[in-house]
Amino acid sequence: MRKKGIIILVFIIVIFAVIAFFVRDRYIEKVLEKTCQAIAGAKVEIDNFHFSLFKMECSWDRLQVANKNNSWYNVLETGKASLDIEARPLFWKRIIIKEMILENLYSGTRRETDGSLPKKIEPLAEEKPGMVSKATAAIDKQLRELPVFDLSGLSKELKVDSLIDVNNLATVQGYDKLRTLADSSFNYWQTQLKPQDYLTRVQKVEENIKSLNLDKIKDVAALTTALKKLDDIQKEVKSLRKEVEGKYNNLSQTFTDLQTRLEAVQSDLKNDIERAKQLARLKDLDVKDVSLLLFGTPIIKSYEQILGYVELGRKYLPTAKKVVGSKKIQKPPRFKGQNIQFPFHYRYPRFLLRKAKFSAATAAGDTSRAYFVEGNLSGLTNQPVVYGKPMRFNIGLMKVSGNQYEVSGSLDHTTEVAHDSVWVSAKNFAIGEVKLKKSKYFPHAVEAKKGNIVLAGFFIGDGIDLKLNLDVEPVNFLFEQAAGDRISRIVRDVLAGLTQLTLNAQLLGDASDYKLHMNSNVDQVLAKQVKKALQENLQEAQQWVENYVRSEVDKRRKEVEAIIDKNRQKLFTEMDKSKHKVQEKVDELEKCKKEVHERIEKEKNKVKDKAKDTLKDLFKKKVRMK
Amino acid sequence: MIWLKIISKFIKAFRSGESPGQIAGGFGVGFLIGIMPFWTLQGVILFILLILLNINMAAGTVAILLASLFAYLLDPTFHSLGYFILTGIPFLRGFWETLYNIPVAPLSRFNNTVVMGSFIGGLVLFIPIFFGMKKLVVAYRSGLEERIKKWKIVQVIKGSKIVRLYEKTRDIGSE
Repeated sequence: MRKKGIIILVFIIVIFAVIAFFVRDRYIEKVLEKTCQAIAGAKVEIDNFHFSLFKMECSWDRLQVANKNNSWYNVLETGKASLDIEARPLFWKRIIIKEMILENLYSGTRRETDGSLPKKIEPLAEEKPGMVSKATAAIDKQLRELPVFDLSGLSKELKVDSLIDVNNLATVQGYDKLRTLADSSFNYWQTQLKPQDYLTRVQKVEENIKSLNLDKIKDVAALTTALKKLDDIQKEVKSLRKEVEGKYNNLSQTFTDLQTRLEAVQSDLKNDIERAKQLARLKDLDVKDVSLLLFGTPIIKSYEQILGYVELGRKYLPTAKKVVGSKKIQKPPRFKGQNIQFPFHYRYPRFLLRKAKFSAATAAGDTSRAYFVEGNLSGLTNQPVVYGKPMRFNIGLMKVSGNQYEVSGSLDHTTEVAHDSVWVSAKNFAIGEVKLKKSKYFPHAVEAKKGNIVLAGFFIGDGIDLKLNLDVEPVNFLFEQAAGDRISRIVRDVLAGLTQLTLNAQLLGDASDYKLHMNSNVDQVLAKQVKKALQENLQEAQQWVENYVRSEVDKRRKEVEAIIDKNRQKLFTEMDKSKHKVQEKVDELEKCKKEVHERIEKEKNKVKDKAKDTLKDLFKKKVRMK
Repeated sequence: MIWLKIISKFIKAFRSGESPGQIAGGFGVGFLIGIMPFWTLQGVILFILLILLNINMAAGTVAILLASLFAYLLDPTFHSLGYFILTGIPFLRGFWETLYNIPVAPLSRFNNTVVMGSFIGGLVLFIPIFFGMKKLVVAYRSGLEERIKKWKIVQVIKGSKIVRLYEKTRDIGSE
């Protein structure tokens, strides 16, 4: 060992120590500021940061976190603060803070400089919609699909034809199809009937009969031959009759089928009327719909805020991911290599704040307006699965004038599925004017003095069960326009009589669907009164829709029936004519045959008589000769 | 200029003064330092050893420079070697896990493929480099120097402006 070497080493160590002494605090301060800025989205400034390696302690004189929405104000400002860091985890580059006590915490203080960060243009990353965006979209859809509460629409001026497309009605579509079917059937029958053909064939039969010249035939043999020919002609005529009758029956069947179909289409009319009423949104007034219409928008805003905080927690406190083995990186950057992860036996996350206690005040300098905040937090970590315990927090807010708020919750991200819960209680808090959804008959805002609220939310994975109970007194509903009609007056009378508002809301659902359920004391009273008044108008409007649909459907039914009747008359007339002609010939033939039979008999008798006479004469002659 | 001084000292050490073992030791330790990423526990310890031990520092410094260039070329090989040592040998896994959980051990960055690969590679090369350098110094001193001086490239370097300037400034200091 050389002495000179010890001197060089000591010199190097001294140089390093001096540099570290002067630069270390500033370096850590910059790193912390940069990290916090990335989370807060606005400037974070730490004044006089100090890190003591021997005491394992950090401290600062002031910490300011700018409000990203109002960058000239701080969302958080602290006075002097100190925190203890655990030494052992530092070997693994893990920062674990044992306890942090923050006093003189303020919110809403004015900044001396602008706290906004220079805007970076970041490439749009395709993110999967999260729980909040899915829930918000589902509730928005639910609100959009609320029935039209433009109650004037239920009166006589209702323009049904603009709301209902008759061509979409099943009966109208059925009649259109039936008409097409009837047209094609009749075209077919026109080509199949051929009455002229039947007449020609009948004429031919006539000619054949005439060609026999029955009048001129005198002897039995000729008559018998003619009779045989008549039999052949009769067979042909009967076959013709069979053919005509067959076609007649088929035609009758076609008309029967059309008639059956006509009745089947008509049976859809009832459903069509109901559908048309729905299309015209002539739904009965629903109690929960009134609640959603009145208070949906402001409640959703509060819900979105709560859900936003839950999602923020999930973003920065990730849940457990499936352990992936250290797969070889083929080309890591030069001299960087690849770090192989081995099972870690300690519950040391990369960052952990074991316990924090804080006290704060908003609107610094004005105690009458300020909120005094006191709270504690435990287990804040960026690797909950490593720490293995949920993050818990409890915050109490109080105002000199008497308002009291309490917020507590737990974010358990120690497994693959996040289990979060939030509980908020606010007593005697001032509400002021709350804007409501614009509607013709309902108030545009509600003004309330004081209220109590209890909110409990459970979030498991994508599942949400968020309940809110609100109790406000006294309330005053504000209308933009003067009451114009009876309905408006009823609504106003009902709402004027209410001094207290009790509202229960629940957002419930999972990734497949979210639904917002609401009810309030306003709904019951209002719905009952308005419903009563509307009943007549509603029925009238429903009748109007029914009549409209019936008339439109009747129009089309009559058109189809007219086509069928017209063709029935035409086709059956022709068929009857042919049938009649053929039958005539059949009868005529029968008659001819009968005559020929008679004549044959007559001729036979004549021959017989002649033979008898001849024999008699012969016999007489013989007797004379003897 | 400092680099010329170091090289000059290194050449001087070749000629006389320190023993071949000291020069080879300095060169070997320097090689180990240079071939690994520096900011590791073992890198710092080796650097302290280079300063404290009675070995040639100039040889060590030259070796750091040369080994760093060598390490750049061999980086992909060291990555593959380190990956194999850390993941491909089943009976070592338990050892690595235990080591990973010992507080000071992570400072060695042994779980990094390049650190592990270059450290093992350096250790393996240390022995031939040490003995090779020792032999070279002995050979240099017993007649190789005269032959090298006659090399054209050596004469070109000696005659270069930078070397002449260096010699002038060195002489001013010594007068």
